[in-house]
Amino acid sequence: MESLRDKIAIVGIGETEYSFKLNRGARELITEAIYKALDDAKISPKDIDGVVTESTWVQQFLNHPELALGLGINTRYAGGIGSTGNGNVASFHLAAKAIAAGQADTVLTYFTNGYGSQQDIPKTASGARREDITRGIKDSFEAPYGSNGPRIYFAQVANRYMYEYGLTKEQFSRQLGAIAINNRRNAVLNGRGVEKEPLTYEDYLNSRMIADPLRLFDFCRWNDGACAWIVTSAERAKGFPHAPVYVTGMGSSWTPEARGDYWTQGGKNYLYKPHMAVALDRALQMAGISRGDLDFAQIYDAYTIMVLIFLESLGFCKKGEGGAFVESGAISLEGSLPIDTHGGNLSHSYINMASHIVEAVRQLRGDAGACQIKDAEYGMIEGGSSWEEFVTILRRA
Amino acid sequence: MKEYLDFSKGPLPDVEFSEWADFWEGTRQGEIRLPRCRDCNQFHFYPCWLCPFCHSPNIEWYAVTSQPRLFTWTYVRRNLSPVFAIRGPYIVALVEFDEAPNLYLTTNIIECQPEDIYIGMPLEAVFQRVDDKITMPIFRPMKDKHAA
Repeated sequence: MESLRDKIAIVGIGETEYSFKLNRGARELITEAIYKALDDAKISPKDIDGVVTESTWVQQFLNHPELALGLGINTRYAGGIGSTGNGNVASFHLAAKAIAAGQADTVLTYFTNGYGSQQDIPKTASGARREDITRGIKDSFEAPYGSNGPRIYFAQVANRYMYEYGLTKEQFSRQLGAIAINNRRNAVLNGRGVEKEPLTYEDYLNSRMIADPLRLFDFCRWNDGACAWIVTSAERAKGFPHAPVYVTGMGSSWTPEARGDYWTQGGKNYLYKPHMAVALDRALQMAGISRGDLDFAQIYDAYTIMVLIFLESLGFCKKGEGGAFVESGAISLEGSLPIDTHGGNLSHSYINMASHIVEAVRQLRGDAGACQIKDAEYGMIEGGSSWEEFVTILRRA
Repeated sequence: MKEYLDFSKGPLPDVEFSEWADFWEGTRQGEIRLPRCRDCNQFHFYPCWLCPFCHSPNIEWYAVTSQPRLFTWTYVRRNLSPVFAIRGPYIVALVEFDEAPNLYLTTNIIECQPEDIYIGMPLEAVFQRVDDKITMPIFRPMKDKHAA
């Protein structure tokens, strides 16, 4: 089968303001992001004939049929892939296949996580808040112990990481702090995100412990915001106002996993997810480049510890060497592998890789302002997960 | 038995669900039962409908008797959820058994200060009865059998 390399390109991006308190519902935010993406591409809803989103989350706020009804889209193709952050990264994979198969010409993707100030979902019958709800095994085997979400799962991961790699608390704080400070610096330079003030190591160290060994600034915060983007075939993409940003590499891989295992099992791979490097290798192979050719990497960074695990699992450094890598400055805008160039989930906005994607397009258009990486040609986006991984590599025109 | 932790105000397990009712039947009897394949004798967890090693459907819940040890932990100082905030700070941990390595049981650690906890720490199970159906397995540092 013919490669999907450079078969589609991103021609429109849209995003709302990001804020801790917009008091606007998820549907309204999504709609604004979509109209901005349409405006960026200078097209109208009737020019869209496909919709692809991640498959588990955003449709509870706005599903594909309702979107088509509200915006007047005559959808030839609608599909979902992956889950939240991974699904946003994977949207390009499904859109590329649909376009290559002739099922759609121009495909819209949108996302918000709805974690903001005004949640549009009715409470459950028991009145439980949404963050209390985990399903199945986690409900019965973890939540009763007050282990009710990823903050706690990753605090356990962090303690094990410190133990496995023989780090002192001081050394480990310096490593995690380097990530928090790096991403904050990018957010301050970008200026559109939720965090506007620089972060020092003292600020980081003095922030309150939430779940040992993770502090307040090891975690992203929930905020309002939504993103959308539009892709079309490479041939059509040449007729749009912005230079096309090509989808040049795509790869995915997964590991069998027990039901309910999200960072609470994993056996020997508790700290290291080999399928992530496999996914990246596949994407690099499609793009015909190697890791060293990447000008930046948008790494899933809801918590600082994730960045260490993912940099190692993606093969950017060896097991246990992620800390030395981030402390060396390699991840800074001037480094060998700038990450989360707009400030990431940690300091720009927690929209599960969607704002990372918008930023990646800006970088490759040469439109990233103070965060611009000189001569950026290739950028990768990954979805960060315990069992499935999607990687997308973008290339400038 | 002494009430160590108040589970009654938080979410409780579905102890009757057929795929894992045997686990909770075990805790009522003071046992930790983990799924084990009758054909290849390997443990797995969480429960899977087929053995992940030899793919046999011939799985039983087997009471582990070996030493439980601390695999990792966190001291939750502040839980954003009001359901758990009322508990105050608490230790969540993953516990591993010598005879079933690389499988982790999420639990709470009691009778231990966070300053004293360490990975690899030998533990012993405490079975806290919540009601007629639910008994929660939690753990504490193993007492030295030779101590006076």
